[in-house]
Amino acid sequence: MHVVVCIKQVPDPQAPAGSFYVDEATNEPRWSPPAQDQISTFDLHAIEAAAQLRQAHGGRVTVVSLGDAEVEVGLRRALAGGCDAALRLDGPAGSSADRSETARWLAAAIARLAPVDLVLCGRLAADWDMGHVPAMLGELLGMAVVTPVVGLEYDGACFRARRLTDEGQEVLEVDLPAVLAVSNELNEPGYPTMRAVLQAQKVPVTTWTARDLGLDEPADRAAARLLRLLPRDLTRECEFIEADTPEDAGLLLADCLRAQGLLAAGAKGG
Amino acid sequence: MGADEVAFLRAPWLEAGQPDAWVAALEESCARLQPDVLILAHITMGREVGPRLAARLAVPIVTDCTEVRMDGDSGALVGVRPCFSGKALSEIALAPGSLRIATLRRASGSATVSAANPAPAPSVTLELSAAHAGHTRVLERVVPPPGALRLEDASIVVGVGRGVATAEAFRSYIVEGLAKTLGAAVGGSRGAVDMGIIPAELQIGLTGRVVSPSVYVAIGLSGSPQHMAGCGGASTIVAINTDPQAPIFAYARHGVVGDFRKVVPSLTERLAKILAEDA
Repeated sequence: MHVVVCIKQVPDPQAPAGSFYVDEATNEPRWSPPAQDQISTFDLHAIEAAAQLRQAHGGRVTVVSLGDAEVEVGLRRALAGGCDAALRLDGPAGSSADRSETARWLAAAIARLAPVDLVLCGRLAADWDMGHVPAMLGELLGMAVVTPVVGLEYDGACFRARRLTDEGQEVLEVDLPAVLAVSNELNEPGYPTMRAVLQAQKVPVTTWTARDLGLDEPADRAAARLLRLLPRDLTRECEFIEADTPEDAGLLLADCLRAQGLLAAGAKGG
Repeated sequence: MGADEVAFLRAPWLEAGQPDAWVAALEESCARLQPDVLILAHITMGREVGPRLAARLAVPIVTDCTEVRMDGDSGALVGVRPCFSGKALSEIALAPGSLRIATLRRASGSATVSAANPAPAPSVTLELSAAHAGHTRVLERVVPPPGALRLEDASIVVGVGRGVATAEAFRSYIVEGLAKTLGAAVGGSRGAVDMGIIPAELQIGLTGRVVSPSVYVAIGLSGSPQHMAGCGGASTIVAINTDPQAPIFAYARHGVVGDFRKVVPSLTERLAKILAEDA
């Protein structure tokens, strides 16, 4: 089985909320102090899923990322996490408004990596929070798409995925090749050993350009564009209920909710 | 609700409810109806179907919008959407010239049918092509019991975090206690899912369900940006947490610093009395 994992590096999603601001002149997100780039959270679960599949069923795992030489840090981390080969696509790392170009690059690369049985992506990247790429990739490649995946089973013949739905969960039999958008419930990514990290340094990272992939200039990149980025502050002043005991605080909170008229909506039913 | 015309899509293969089928159905419907704008609900189905349809038709898309509007001068469809776990809002413009797709978050209770407009909109039924073969087959479905209140429909939601500690505490204090008394839906944080306190489908947050109730009662919940992205639209947040430094108190209008095992039973009891009096 040949598994391709698509990863993206993003500014540390755990950076303190207070360090985030918007550069109003350029409409770009900024962090002070700067947030370290790292592999987006859900992509780590995709790497782990690929490594587990390879351990159980053999085959190989190729990790792919789009962007400049800085994405090689993430690619080497993925190699240490169980991927066999790393590929950097020397293209634009994704605009703030439109993911179709990212999907076009990745689809062209995956087509060139054929045969590919499975493409694993994180369900969304922890920066612009879009989650478009896995769905778009499936369409461009004509593969099955399953989102968001919280369980996998493969017996060598039949491939099954468990996904979240709006009502609950579903177990699906999936025709391969398929693109899966992986959620965090799927597994618990471990930390690579020092030995694996050192070995990953020795693996060459292949680079493909637009020319290698036969990609033309994008036809019209202005179809979706960012007008404005506005910082958003949801915080407010909290009124704390003061009481001698927590039991009394519970009683006072109930009275407070009634006094504020906050129970009316619930009493009438949604 | 303001529609001029309603189109019902009919095809035997739509009943399986798979995204494959919905992408095919909307592709065919758009080809026949030629809309300028397609708006889908930003639920699990819309999150997948929207970008797939955009890629299949090579048209622009903006998702997870809290607001969409038409810009009169440029004719652009502007979608306002949270990003960076809700720390910022981006305004994204989709230029005219082709179909444009948006997925829209729903504010709880906003979709009310006006009794003052009794005339039903004229409707058409589109019979879609019979042939459709999906790439996936449903083997098993896990759905909540009938009558369960959907998170997105509830005007009061009780959310729990790691502080609630066990599924048993969640059941006895919240499901059978506070939420039952309030007629509230229940959910919780990713931490609560990781600890097995609540099932994955009840996760509220950026990657889970997005709720905008009138009141969100947060219990034992730290209030991570990831979680707040799913409940920050609540009109009022009430928080109970043992840690006075928990970030959730920065979002809450009313807070109690204390152990929920002591606060929630007396709160529930008093609420039951109040609601019985007010009924």
